[in-house]
Amino acid sequence: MATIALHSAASGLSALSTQLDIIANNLANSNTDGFKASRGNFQDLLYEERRQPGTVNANGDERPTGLYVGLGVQMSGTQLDFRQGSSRPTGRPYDILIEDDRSFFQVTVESDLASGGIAYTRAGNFVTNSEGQLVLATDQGRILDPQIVIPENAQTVTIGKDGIVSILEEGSETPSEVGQIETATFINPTGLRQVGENLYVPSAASGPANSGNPGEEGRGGLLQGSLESSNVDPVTELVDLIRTQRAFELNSQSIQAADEALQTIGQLRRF
Amino acid sequence: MNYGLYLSATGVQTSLHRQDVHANNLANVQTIGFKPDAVYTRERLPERIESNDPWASPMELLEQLGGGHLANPTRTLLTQGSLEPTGAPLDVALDGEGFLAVQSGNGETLYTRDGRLNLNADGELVLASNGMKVLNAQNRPIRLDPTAQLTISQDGAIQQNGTEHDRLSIMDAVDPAAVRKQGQNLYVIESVRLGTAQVQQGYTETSAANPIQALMSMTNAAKAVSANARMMQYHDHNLEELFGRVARVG
Repeated sequence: MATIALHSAASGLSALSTQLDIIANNLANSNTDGFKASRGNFQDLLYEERRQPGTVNANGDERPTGLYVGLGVQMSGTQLDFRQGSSRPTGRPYDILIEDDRSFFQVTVESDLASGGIAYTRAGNFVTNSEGQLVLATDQGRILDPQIVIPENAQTVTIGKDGIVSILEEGSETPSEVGQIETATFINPTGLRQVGENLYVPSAASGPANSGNPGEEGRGGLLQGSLESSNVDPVTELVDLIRTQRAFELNSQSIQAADEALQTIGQLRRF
Repeated sequence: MNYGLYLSATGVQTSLHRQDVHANNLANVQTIGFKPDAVYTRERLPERIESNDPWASPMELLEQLGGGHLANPTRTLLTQGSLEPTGAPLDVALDGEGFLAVQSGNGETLYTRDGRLNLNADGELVLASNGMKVLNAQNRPIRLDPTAQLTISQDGAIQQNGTEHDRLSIMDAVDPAAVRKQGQNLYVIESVRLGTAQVQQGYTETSAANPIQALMSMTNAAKAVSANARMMQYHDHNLEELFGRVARVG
C-alpha cells in the first residue's frame, strides 16, 4: 500500500533533518579549537518480504527471487572524524597543540560526568588559575591531570615536545622542572562520548584510556604556542548541506505523490 | 461478473507497489553503498492458464483481455555508485563487482558495500554503522594495531608498519539476481565467488539511487493509480446502471 511509501518518505525526512542538525553543529563549531567534525551515517531499514523466494507455482516452477519492499532509511549513528585540524600559532605560552590525531589531554571533571573523574580533550588552550594550576580556559576551568602548578615567580615557562614543563625563576639561570603533562590514546577514539565543553569521556566502545608521556608508544609530541583549529571543512559541509536539503525536498515530494494515490483510492466510491 | 473491475484493481495494486519501492529508493539517496531496487511488472495470465486447470472451460472472449497486472520479483540493481573522497583512512569504497564480507553477532556471514570501517575496543576492524566484524580472506575477524598507520591497497591488502598485515575478503554473488537485502546496508548471498572489485581507501561509495528517476516514477505511479481508479468508478457505475435500471424487477 501507498502507506508504506508514506512511511519510507517520512523516515527519509526524519533522517535527513538529523543530518541537517549535524551539519549545522559542524558549521557552528568551525571556529572551535580542537573541535572534531561528525558525520551522520545512514542505513536502509528492514525489508518487508511479500513473496518468499523458492515458492513453487502451480506449474511446478520455482520462484527464483522474492518480492521485497524496503521500509525506508534510518540514521545508524554519528561518526567523529579525528583527523588533525590545522595548527594555528598563537605565541601564548600555555597554548599547546598535540602533534598527532589520536592523543588527548586529560582533565579532572565531576565523577557523574565521567566515571573515574577524567575527561579528555584536544583543545589545548590552557591558563593558570588563582592557585597557579594549569586549567582549561573554559568557563568551568577544568584542571589538567596530572596537576601542574606554575610558581608565582616563574619568568618563562617552557613545555617540551615530551611534555616536561620547566620554568625559569627570577634571578636563576638554570630552568627547573615543575611537572610532566601526560596524554592518553584510545583504541577506538570514535567510540568516545561527546559531552560538550570540547570534552570527551570514555565508553565501552572506545576502550580504556592508555595514558603516558607524549612522544612515546605512538603518542604525538606537544607543541607550545600553537592551537589546533577545528577540522571542519566549511566547503564540504556546505556541499553536504545543499545535497541534504535537496534530498529532503525530494522526499517531501514523494509524500505528496503517495498522498495523491491514497486520496484517489479514498474517493473511489464518490462518483 | 464484471471482469474489468478486477483488471483495474490489479493496476492500482501494482502502481501502489511501485510507489512503495521508489519511495524507499528515494529515502535512501544519502545511504552509503545503497543499491536501488527496480520494480518489474508483468501481464498476468488468464486464470485458467495461470492455475493450469485442465477442467476449466476456456472462455476465449474473456481470455483475450488478459488477466491484469502482477508485480514481478524486485531486483536489486547492483550499479556502481560514484566514489566520494572523504580522506578518512578507515573509509573504503568498492569499485567494481563485489562485497565486503562481515560477520553478524550470531556468526552468520553477510555482505555489504558500505565500507565505513572503524576499530572496536578490542582493536578489531568493524563496520562503523553496526559494529559487525569485517572478515579477512580466511573468514576471520581482522585485528589491527591501533597506534600504527593503516594503508589498504587496491587488492584489499591491509598494510601496517610497512608489512602486509591482513587482507579484506571481497566476494561477489554467483547470481546477481539472488542477492537479497537485509536492511542495515547488508545483503544475504547464498553462493559467492571471489569478487573483482578494487578497494579505494579514503573514499565512500554514494548511493546508486537516482533521486530524479525515483521521484518521476513515484508521480507516474500516482497518475496510474488515479487512471485505474477512474476505470473502477466506471465499472462501478456500469454495475449500478445494470442493477438499478436494466435489471430492475417490477
